[in-house]
Amino acid sequence: MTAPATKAKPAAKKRKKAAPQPTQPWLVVVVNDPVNLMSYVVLVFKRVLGFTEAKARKHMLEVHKKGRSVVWTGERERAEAYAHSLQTWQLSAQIERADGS
Amino acid sequence: MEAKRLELKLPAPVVAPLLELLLPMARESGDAALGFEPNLKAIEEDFRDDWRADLAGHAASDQERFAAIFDTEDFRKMGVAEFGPEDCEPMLRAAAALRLKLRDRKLGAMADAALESGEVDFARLNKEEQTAITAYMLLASLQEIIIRHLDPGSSEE
Repeated sequence: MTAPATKAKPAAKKRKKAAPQPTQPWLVVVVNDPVNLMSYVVLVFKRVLGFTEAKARKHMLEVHKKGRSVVWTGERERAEAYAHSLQTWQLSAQIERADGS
Repeated sequence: MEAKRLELKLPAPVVAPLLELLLPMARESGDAALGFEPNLKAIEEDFRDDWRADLAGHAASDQERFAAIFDTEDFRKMGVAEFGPEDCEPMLRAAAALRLKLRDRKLGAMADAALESGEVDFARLNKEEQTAITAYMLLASLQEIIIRHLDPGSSEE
């Protein structure tokens, strides 16, 4: 299983250390689209996020039925890396603050 | 175990109109290579342009690889395209981007439910839409073949 999230991250590479990082965790959210195949979304979750088949299917179905799924929670830089990698696979992924601010 | 090459065969008469539609789309660069509008609201403003350009670069590279595989004499004359294991992931991403572009540019009048189910009344579509939906479905079939190849243990939908 590859983890391309660590290599494709243009924003985080250039960020300076000066800005204090908020303690609130960040969410990686995948939003439904009517185009991508369910089997494709499952494969992308497994490859990018390292999910098991069961976990990938659970999140894929959540995206399909509820319109979105939080697929990862944690510190900002890793959240950005995962979102970027998921976008590279043509999924509608975004990051959000856990507190919604 | 040696990784297998994949071969795709299509009826030759079907191929020409699909290539005419897909190859120019697959050779787009910059923002036009993107399959969708990325949501970058939470990304710091200073980094958004780099982020977007990086995504577009990845998308263009994947789609260029797709174009190179299908823009061959064998595919035009016999409907046969062949690619190796190293092409599988770029082909999957390129097919996803091209399907998103087709949806956005050519199939906007079609209901999401019809596209998702594949239950399309061809007789009610104009020629351009018929070509677009054929390409859209072909790309989905291509993705399914590659996914089964890459991930044979994955359960069916």
